Amino acid sequence: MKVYKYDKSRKIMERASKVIPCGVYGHLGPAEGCMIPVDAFPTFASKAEGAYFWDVDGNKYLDFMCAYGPNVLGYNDPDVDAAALEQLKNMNCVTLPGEKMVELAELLTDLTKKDWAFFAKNGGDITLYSIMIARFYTGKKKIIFVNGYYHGVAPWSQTPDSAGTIEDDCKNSLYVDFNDIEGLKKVIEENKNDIAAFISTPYMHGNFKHNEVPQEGYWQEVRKLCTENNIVLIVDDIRCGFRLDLKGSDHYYGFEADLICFCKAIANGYNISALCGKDFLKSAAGSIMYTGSYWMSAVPFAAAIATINKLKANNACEKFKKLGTMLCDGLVEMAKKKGVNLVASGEPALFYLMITDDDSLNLHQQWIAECVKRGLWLTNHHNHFINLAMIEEDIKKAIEIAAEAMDVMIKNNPEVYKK
Amino acid sequence: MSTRTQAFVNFYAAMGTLYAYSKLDEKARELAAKQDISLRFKVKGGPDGVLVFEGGQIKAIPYQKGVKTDIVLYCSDVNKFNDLVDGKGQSVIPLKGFTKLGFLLNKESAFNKLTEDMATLMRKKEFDNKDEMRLSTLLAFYAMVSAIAQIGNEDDLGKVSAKKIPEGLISIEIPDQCYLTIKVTKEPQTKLEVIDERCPNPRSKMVFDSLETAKGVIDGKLDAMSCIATGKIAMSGFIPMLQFLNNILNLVPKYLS
Repeated sequence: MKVYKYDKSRKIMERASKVIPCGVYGHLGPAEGCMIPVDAFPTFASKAEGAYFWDVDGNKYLDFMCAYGPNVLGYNDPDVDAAALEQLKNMNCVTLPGEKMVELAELLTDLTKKDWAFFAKNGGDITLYSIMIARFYTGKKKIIFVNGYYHGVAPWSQTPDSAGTIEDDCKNSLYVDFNDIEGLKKVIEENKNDIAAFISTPYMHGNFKHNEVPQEGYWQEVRKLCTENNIVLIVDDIRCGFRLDLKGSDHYYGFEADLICFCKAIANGYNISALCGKDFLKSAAGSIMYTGSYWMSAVPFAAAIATINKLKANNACEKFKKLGTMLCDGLVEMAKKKGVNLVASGEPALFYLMITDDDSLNLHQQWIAECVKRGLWLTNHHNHFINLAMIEEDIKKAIEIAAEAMDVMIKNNPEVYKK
Repeated sequence: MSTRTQAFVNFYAAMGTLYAYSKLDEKARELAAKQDISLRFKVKGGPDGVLVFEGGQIKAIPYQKGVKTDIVLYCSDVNKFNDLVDGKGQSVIPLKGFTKLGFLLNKESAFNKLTEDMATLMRKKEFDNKDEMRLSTLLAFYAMVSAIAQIGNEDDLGKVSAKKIPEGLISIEIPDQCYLTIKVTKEPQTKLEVIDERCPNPRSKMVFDSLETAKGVIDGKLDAMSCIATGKIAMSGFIPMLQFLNNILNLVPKYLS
């Protein structure tokens, strides 16, 4: 297989680093994105189509990161783009919102069995809003987080040792482990009548560790404890939303959240996030002044409606699970034959991979680097995503590239993989 | 920022860098070799450590029973020790070694000459030659890594980050120039310790591509994240170790200026 080079990416990165902090900041950048080693990865894309994107050097990638989630139907989906373009011809960001906003709210509330929907732009907009609602409604201040969580980058969701965060930002934060009901009971008991919300992703899809699905009865017990203690139960479904269940991941795991946050898979890359909630919190939500310049732009609403309808029409979640399972089983089996312990964890639609033959993850990083250099876009320490544009041929191709990449990694580590 | 942490940084990272100075610079080594002597700084509520001059080498070590001491200086609080290091006062009480106090009090003594020369070199912004720049950078590099360990062990926020660093060895390298290892242990509590040796099999690694990059980060002209993004710093291995170490690195300028 051809091994890629990234000359143009490097040149653009040189320009970028002069005028943009980190060159490319955040999770799409080499540092936060754990592109290890940096020279094995390109940094800029030029076009995308379906399950693939191309970098500025013309290299093509089968992309299992899906823009870190938003690409749920496939890049440049013709139906979504047509709906967006049609809306754009009429209006986008205007002095008043368009009817599409109401249409989308009706669609989302009907789908998720919630009573209202509120729209913003990014996941962090609505996780923060959900916390504000919980505090206003309960009159309490503390928030329970699950260790290994990620709910955005605002100071309230960080730990005090993070750059740009101060201790006061985190003084009302409490922490428990996922699947630890006894730990949760203890925290509630120790902070009786002071806890406004419990916020968690539907399963633990944190980084650098095997992802953990809920144990039998876990969420039902969490629901019960929250109800008994007047704690608002917030599900951060930004990553999993519409990939496990179009009715929301709370429905998937058999419980009901009070507030549920959606973002990544709503509009196939058009910028929108949504908070859906139960009726008893609607008045609290309405009492809080919370808005943004672009939050009622019409184009993303039109794109979201088209996306959700297409996901429904194509039985998307079932397909995500099927293809994800096929890929994970294929990769693990392929690795096993080569004597490599590769673990796939979490839900197949958002699979997480880790080679466990060393405690430094160096072997895993070497394997991922070789995959990327051959056109299979996996990432080192983050869960991956399946989209609707992927077909079984793509899965076979992914396993083929991953196998060659693994051979290179094995060859480079003879002390670990003795014949 | 805590004065207690400052005292630990002052002893192990500021005075402690005399170790690197005596190792890297021949003149410093000759000066240090003039007198074998051990100074214990017993700081109430702060470090209790010994600065050992022996055969031209200098090292800062924690005081333990049995360690030879020629001079013992007592500071009744950490502020007095910090003032002493900053040259703002000498409110220390000698408990032992009255006849040898000239080593500290005499401006021309090896101790004062070494600390003054080292500080001047580390503060220098323009250099006469490459060797001088190299020495200045390596001293600052050693001080920075030593300060990370002290801040992770003593500062409240530093401890929050240190607690999250998994056990193991972290290698911090400028290839062909300097290799330092931070050893992270968890029992009985999280402790960071700097070891001056190359680690062949670290759990995680941070590699600076040049002395210039290291100097840029130390001087605050470059940030580590941007350097990682552009390949000036390469990280590999168990990344959470480096992420939380980087959080501590962000606190270093508060203590080492």
